[in-house]
Amino acid sequence: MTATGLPRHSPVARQLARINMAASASALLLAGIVLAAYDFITVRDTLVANRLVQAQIVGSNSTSALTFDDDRVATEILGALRAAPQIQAAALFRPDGALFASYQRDAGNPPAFPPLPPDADLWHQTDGLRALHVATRVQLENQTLGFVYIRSELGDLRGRLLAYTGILLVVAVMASLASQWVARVSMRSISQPLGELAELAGRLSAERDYSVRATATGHGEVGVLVSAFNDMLAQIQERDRSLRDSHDLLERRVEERTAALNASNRELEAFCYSVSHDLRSPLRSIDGFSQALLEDYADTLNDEATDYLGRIRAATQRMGTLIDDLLSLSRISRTQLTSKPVDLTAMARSVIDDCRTLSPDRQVDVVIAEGVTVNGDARLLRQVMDNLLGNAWKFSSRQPQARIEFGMTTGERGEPVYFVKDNGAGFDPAYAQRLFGVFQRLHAMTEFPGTGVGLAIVERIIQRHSGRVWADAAVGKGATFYFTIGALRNDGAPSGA
Amino acid sequence: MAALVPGPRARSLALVLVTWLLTGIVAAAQAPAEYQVKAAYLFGFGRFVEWPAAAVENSPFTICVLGDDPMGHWLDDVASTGTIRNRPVRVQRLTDVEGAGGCQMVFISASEELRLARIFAALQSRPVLTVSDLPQFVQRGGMVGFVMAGSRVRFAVNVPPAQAAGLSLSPELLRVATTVVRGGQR
Repeated sequence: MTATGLPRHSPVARQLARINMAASASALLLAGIVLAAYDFITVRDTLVANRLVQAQIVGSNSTSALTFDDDRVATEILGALRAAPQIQAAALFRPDGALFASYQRDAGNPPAFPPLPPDADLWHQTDGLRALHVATRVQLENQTLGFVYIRSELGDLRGRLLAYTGILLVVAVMASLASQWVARVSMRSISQPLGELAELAGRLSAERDYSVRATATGHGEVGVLVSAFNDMLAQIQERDRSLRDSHDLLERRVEERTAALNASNRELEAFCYSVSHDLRSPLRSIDGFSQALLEDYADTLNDEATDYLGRIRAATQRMGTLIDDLLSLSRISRTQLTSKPVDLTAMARSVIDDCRTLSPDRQVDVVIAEGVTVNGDARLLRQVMDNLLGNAWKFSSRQPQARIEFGMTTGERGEPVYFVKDNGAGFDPAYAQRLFGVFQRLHAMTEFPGTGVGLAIVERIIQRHSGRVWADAAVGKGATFYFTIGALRNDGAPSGA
Repeated sequence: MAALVPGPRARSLALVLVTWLLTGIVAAAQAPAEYQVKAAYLFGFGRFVEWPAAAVENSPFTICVLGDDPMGHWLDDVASTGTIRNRPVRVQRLTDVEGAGGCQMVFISASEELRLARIFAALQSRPVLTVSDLPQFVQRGGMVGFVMAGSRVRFAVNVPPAQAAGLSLSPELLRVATTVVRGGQR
């Protein structure tokens, strides 16, 4: 479809023209057929009447010939019919039906006696469109002398019918063409806007260009249609624009906020790192001088002072550990990770061995599943195992017969799920979500030592491995920590950090 | 019973007999007797000749036969079947021309050949059509004379005496006549 000249050939225009043409052609045809039939009947009746008159003239001319049995004269009289070329044959019959005299334009058998009804004076019959047969009784003073029979061509009638048909066809064709032309011209006001609309709609769906408009031509329903279409387009365009605007705005806002968030995150991490780092040196001084006091003035210090100093030292050491943990937590987000196969089984054994070394007098049943390997960052996963197994070791310390298990099971979606299970103190499942927050502790420091950062580190590491970590426990019945490992994510970490 | 059933020979004989009889009848029908035709023609002349109104008023159309009647019942048969000029036809047989006063047409029998002159004189200028099968009848002053053309009966017409008698012979009649004698008077 092109923008120019489309209404002329648009289907609507064609349909309207076709309907118009059909209507006019059928009306014309009907009128023509009726006229032709009327004319045909009229002409035929006239022809029949003329032939009958001719037959009667022949009959009255033949009375003497019939009376005096003169077939020569009768043949002569019939021969005069040669003047009428349509007459093919004529004959005179005696009252008993015997042939008396005959005339034939062309050679052939003499005509047979016509099937004239016994008491009829006139008779005629058409033989399709081929021939007309007429017969009259020849009478003189109520006495039948004989019969005249004339057979004539219907050539005139046939020609007339043919001419009629021809004229009708020519007129029908001309009228159809004229009506088509008229329809096209007169319906342009309808078909042009419609065609334009159709073309526009096609372009709309193909190119999604809502800036186009239909030319507002035509009156009445078509005009209303066009202007409604244009209004609709305007609305769509307006909505499109506002949608795009708000979308852009949102995008921009998200970008801005993300940037701000990243910046403040980085700031915060840097702050945290530097604070943690800077906190270490005064702490070292406190610890170092406390140790110097204990060593250099051991004689002058009484037991109480020695005890206080010991407490100061313990507190500074615990703070040091805390700072280390915080540093490592902040480092997790900043480190570039490398993914390679990690043997978790071996790692678990190594952690448990370390624990046994630290508290050799404890009796713990340890079950470690064989051949558990994952893809991940070995150093970070070591921290996960350290924390989870260390916790298990720690929180089962009150159990006379402690039991720790590391293994692998299958999750709901068929993914591997790793777990560390103990029969230690456990916790209230209502607090399961709070477990993984920084400095969140569910037990008193005096009960189980710890900084409260470990599970936060675990969660951060598992998140960087696109995994999940969750816990399942009951007070006094032990706890089970589950985690999954997915693909390694490096998006959170600044490269080269 | 078997004796009464005709044998094949008897049947074929009967067939031959019937065929012969039929052939005879058909032959008779095909070729009517000469005087039967003449009787019919007499009747026909009445229809193609016009008489003065006074001559045919209030009376049956009368055909008279003068002398020995050769047509016999043929003429009576014809006369009883139709009309001439819408009037019934009567046949009158005369022995003498004196009785021909009420006749519109007189057939002069061959027996009257010798009295022909007298007959013509008697009918002079009277509206009576004279017909005869005497040879040379029209040449001798008659109006319509039968002639034989082979086996067919034809007739000759003499116009002047008919005109003199006030009779009008129709063109149709003249057309079928073998000979038409026309006077030079007109």
